[in-house]
Amino acid sequence: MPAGYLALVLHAHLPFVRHPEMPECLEERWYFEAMTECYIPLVEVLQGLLRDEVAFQLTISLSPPLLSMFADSLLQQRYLSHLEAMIQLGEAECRRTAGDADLHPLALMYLDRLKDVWRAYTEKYACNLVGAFRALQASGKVELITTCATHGYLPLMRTREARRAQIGVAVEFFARHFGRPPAGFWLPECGYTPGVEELLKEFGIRYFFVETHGLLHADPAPRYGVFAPAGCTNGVAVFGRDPESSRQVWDRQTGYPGDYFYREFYRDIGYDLELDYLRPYLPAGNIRVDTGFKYYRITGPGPHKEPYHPRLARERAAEHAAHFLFHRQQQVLYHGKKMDRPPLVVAPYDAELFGHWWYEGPQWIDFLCRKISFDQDIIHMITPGQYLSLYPGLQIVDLPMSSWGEGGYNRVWLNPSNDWIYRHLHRAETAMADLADLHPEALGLKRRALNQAARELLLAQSSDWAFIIRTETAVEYARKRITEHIGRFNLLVEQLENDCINEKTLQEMEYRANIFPELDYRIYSRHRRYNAGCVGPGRPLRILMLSWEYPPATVGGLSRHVYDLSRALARLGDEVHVITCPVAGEEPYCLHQGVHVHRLLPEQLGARDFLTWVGQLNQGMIELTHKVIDTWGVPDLVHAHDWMVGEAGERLREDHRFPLVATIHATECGRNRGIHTDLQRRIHEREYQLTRKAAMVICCSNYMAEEVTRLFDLNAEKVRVIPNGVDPANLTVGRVTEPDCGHLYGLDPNIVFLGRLVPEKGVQVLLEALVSISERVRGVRLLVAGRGPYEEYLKGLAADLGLSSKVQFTGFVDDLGRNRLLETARVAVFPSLYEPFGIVALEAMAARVPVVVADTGGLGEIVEHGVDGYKVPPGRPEMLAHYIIKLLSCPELAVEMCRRAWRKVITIYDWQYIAEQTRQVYYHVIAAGREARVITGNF
Amino acid sequence: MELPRHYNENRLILLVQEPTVIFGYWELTRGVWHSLGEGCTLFLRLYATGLNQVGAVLREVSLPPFTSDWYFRDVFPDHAYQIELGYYGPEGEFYPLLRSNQVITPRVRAVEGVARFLTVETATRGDTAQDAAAIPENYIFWGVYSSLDLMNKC
Repeated sequence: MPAGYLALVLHAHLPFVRHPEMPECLEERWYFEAMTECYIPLVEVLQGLLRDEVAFQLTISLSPPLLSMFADSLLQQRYLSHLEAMIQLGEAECRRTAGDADLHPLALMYLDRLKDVWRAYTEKYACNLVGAFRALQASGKVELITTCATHGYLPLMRTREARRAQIGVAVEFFARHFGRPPAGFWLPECGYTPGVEELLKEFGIRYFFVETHGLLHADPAPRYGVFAPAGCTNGVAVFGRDPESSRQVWDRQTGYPGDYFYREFYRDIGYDLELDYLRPYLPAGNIRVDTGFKYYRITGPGPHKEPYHPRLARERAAEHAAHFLFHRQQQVLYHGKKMDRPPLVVAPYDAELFGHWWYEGPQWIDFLCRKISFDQDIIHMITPGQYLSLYPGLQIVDLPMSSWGEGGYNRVWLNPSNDWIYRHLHRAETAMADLADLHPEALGLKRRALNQAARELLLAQSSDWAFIIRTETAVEYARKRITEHIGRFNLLVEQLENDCINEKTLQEMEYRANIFPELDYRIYSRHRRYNAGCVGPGRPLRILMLSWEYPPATVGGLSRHVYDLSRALARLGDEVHVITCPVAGEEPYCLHQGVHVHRLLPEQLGARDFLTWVGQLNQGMIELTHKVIDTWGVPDLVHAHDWMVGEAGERLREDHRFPLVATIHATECGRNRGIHTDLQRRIHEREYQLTRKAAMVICCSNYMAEEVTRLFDLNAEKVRVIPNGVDPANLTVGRVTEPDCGHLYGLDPNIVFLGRLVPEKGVQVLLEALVSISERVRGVRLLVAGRGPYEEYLKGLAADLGLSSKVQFTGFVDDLGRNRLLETARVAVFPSLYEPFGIVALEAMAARVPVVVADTGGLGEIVEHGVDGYKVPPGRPEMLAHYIIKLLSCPELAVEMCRRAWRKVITIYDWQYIAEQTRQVYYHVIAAGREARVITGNF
Repeated sequence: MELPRHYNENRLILLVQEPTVIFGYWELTRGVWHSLGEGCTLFLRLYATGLNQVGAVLREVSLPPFTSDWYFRDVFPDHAYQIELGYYGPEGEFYPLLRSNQVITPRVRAVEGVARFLTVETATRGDTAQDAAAIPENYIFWGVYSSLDLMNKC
């Protein structure tokens, strides 16, 4: 066994530069130069190692843009023309330097190399390097991985959807080219931000890399530093870059590439010779560029340069390889003493360094691999994937944000030179996610437009543009690229919104940006997950839904929730059986809107005492379930809503091993601000039991999830937040006009409140606010819909405040009444002091009424202040008044808010999405249940 | 082709530049501008936040006209921040127009803590977690490298 390992990682990437609309393009030369000097020489070196049976292991990250350019026929053809022109230049150089003892041999050398490259490219690789890399992967000596779709810099993206697309598109693209998904992932610029590991895991990635401090500053600090991988809490492995080996290769002063015998990059005949002579080989015949004919060595720090001696440079490359190896040996010997496994040195580099900037780089890699293989046995080469197979035990850490850019964080990609790009990129991210959610199944032209919009966004996100702008190299080009991609994206959004897609323009865009031909825009949807078992619609489930109330019986929001969820699941193809209480006039069984509704018999529930009644309810539910199973078959799982049906859920889980999911809509402790009575205590205990026994607990807001996790001391992993949905169709029944934000202009200044009249709903705060509102807004009226124990007090308060003529208590309203009321509202106000979710606010938003809500509980999570409504701290009448007045006196503002709120309702709170998210939880518990059974079986 | 000057949206976005610098940018709709009226001075407030609760105001900036972004320098690493864009009412009350997302600046030093190991194949279930008790005595930090001088990769 070796004392340690070295993982040499080369990350190969260039931005996607391909301009079919122009006969030639200066920036395409970046790719041509890298092909000649870097990629082809590297592949040649690796093939030589294979031929000579050298025991090497290398990891190469190939970016999707680079792979696309390798495989693109236009660029293949253009590269050949470029290569041929360079060969002609080489021949001219041989003639020009004839007789010069120093330069002529170099001109000959370059010409020979160019011809070698041409032969290799056309004959061996058939003009496509993808095949060459495929063969390297098949050899087992090279582990190929990939990076983000267009090398987008993840820490500065706004949305999870944008990050998901950058990762997911890349993984799928890679798998298409190499027949299998990559095991590892190179984060562009080593840019890590918390949460990225979740997305990597979603796409089956096992490991990624971070910069040194990204791992050393983890919580807790990793015991083995960067000399062993660590693990994120979700099990994805992370490798830290070794700083010492980086410095030896990268550092401008002390690194190998600065050696005086190495070739000087900055002396190129493209800048040194007469323009007339060079003209046939330059872009546009007059733009001076690097030609690759560089005749001098670095020589020293000054301007004086000596001619280059390939033999001496080659010797230096061999010496540097030996030096590098010696230091790695010392490193692993030293650190290995303190470790329970052989240390691993992770040395990642940009592939373009080798051959392009550091001309002798490929030779150095060649020497290094051979020396490691033949000259010693202390250190072996390995890939990260292999190391993980040998040493799967990982220390679990929390990583901070980090990158390998200057400063170690985001400064290179976010600074006053390039910060302006983010307002465009971020807006496009959100717009793209909205489009994906608004058009879940687009076809034909619309589908093409959506896919192209996704392509343009991806291309605009390349980290290269921000980097180039910062380094002031090809600023104009980078600006142009961002402007064009965002411009085309915006145009497509506009055309999609107005449903007037111009096919000709679209075709032109597709012709120009032909990357990712198989792209599916739906990867941007907020509601899709791609991890194992959840791809596509999934197999239909048989679900047993336990709820004490179900329409037409409706006491609180629970009934409505179970009704909407069950119907949405049925629409997805699931077989849903609701077990619930009897209701006068309803049959014990009926199939309603695709949902099987089974009701207990009234005589099963005879008890007068509440808890005894609940006991009967649960006993009845268990009996009824057995009948349902006899007729319909065994369900995949049981979903219990709130503590009232908890006992039945737990018993069914224990007796039949059905996985149990529980939704906690509200808690006894939360409702009563603590546990004060014996009854409350018993309910609290039932809630505790149910949440402990359930495999997963669903809450409708982060607020509730936090409350439930804390009260019942649950593992946070077990609690999922899935918001309530809203069905806009339910809000149109009984209205005279269709809901429309534009209607707000014509309405009287009516303020509407809907809810039970109890202190925690905060109507008293609204009444106080109404005093100053009525001073500022003529004709204002408050409509209070609902009833409850606080009603008389509130009426008295209104009278005391002199508001009797301005406030109308309408009493209880049913759905129709609610809809009619919302139709007349200019603003809906929900000033609650406690609110687990606040479905009424969502309903008002769905009815196109602007909302002002108290920033409390789940209510605060629905509204984004100043964007789709206003949020006021609870119990602040003067602030409440201020924002209500704003909306009443400025209809333009009200319309803007209402439009945004409506978009939120249809892109986030659609029941279909909520049902899909709920299904993810179902699949999760079913899979976990299966595993648990296997484990139990083993003992 | 030119980029639009604005998108007629209300948004206030906060980003981390580095552990001690955060960057915010914003945009307001025509409706909001109209509702503000002429000559209204906007302010940017920086808050330290945790658990989504808006905490104390750390700084307040009176924004010069036509400003649409701002760098807050000398903030603390490993802290949660949020910003608000707003104005003062006649009675001296601050009214936020927009509230940003929360950002957490990265920490810049190693953190001591109990090491917990997990085996990757089964890591998803978390059932093979060894406890720190099983780990050998001398618990050393490997922060022997000052990482800040290593990042000049260009």
